[in-house]
Amino acid sequence: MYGMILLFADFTVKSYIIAAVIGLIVALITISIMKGGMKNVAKSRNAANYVAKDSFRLRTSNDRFLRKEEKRTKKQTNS
Amino acid sequence: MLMKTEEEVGMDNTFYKCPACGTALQYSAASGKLECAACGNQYEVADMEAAAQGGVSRSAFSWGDYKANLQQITDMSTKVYICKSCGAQILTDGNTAATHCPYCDSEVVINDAFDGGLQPNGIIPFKITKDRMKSIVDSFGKGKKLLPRDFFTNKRIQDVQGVYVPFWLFDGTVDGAVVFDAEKQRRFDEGEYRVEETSYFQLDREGQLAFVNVPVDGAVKMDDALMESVGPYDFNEITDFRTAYLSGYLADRFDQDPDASIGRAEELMIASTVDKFRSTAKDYSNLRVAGKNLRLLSPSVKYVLLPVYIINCKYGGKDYRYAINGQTGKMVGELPISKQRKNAYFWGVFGAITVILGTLLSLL
Repeated sequence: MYGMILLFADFTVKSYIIAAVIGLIVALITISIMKGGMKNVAKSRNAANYVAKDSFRLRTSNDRFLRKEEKRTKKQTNS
Repeated sequence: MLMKTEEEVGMDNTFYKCPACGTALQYSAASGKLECAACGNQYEVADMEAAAQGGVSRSAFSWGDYKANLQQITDMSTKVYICKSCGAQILTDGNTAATHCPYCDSEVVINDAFDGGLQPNGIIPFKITKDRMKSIVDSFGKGKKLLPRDFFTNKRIQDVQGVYVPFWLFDGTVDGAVVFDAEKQRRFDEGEYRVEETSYFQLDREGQLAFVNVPVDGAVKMDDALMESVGPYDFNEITDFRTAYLSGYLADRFDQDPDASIGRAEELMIASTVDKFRSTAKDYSNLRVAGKNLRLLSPSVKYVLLPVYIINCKYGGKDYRYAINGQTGKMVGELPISKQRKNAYFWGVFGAITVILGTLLSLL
């Protein structure tokens, strides 16, 4: 009987440790998402908003094959 | 990569490495191309040079020539204030008094010796009025759970200052070539083997893309990221500059000329051009720029004033600055984080999950 109680207590402690680890991860993620929403300032990455309409001219478009590599892996078989 | 090594660059005889196998390429008089003796690939000399240079050049642009065409402000009722702290020179009309610098919040003093200053090519007048500030600021802070309570006080909002910020608007066409390394992957079964096949390609793209009104702020004191975030503006609403537009507002004088700003405009235009070339290679994966040779052709510039409301705040010994687009009402900036609220949310989430999940797991 005493052994059963110890086993149950051990299982309960393990459950709460697992829950605490998950809780810690979720809390950190939640706070980092909240922090991310506090800033909307960043340098522009490009000038896409200022492209003149229909101004793109593609004079050359050459695709040249260079080489090929193969990686062979033997399939796993269930015996 | 189609690049020369440092050692190779230092040698008298320039040579290039084969992008496929890395062997030194040799020029073939018969084909007029660079050939690889190891794998047999052939490359155009111009392509290899473009890739090796990897550079960017621009056709002539002279701030001196442009400056000569700008007129002086002739309305002598215009007043100039000087910030005692950061040195900002703030213009306004004869009926508006400035007391604090919009940039650093320090006291400003009037400068009697107004030397006229250069008249902008255009201005976008303020469309958003001050009475809308409260609702704009409220919606900016809405849903920000880590924001300290009462951070934006009513006094701060009432003190908001409308400033015409000097901007350079650059036009130009980016022309040239970009070389990409690219891959195609295929997976298939062959007998008792699973095969992963990767094909390597070199993609040459050459062409041009034009840009209109790429804005770069001409105020050194103004944070570039803040100014690039507060856009875009509708430049169709640019009108001729008149001192009357300054009534009730301040205007900053540019302290960074276009020669110093064109590099940033060029950087943005080139990034867009590379993206455009990249979009023509949709069938490939792992696209990497191996080299580029791009030129900015016929750059031209306009000097304009754009409307921005500036809010300066302090919290926890740190300065925070916010910008509101005076044409669209868009607000940008970084909000402070309340430690108390952050801790409350952290321990609240952690505690709730630990108790509920721990109880559920122990009952299973």
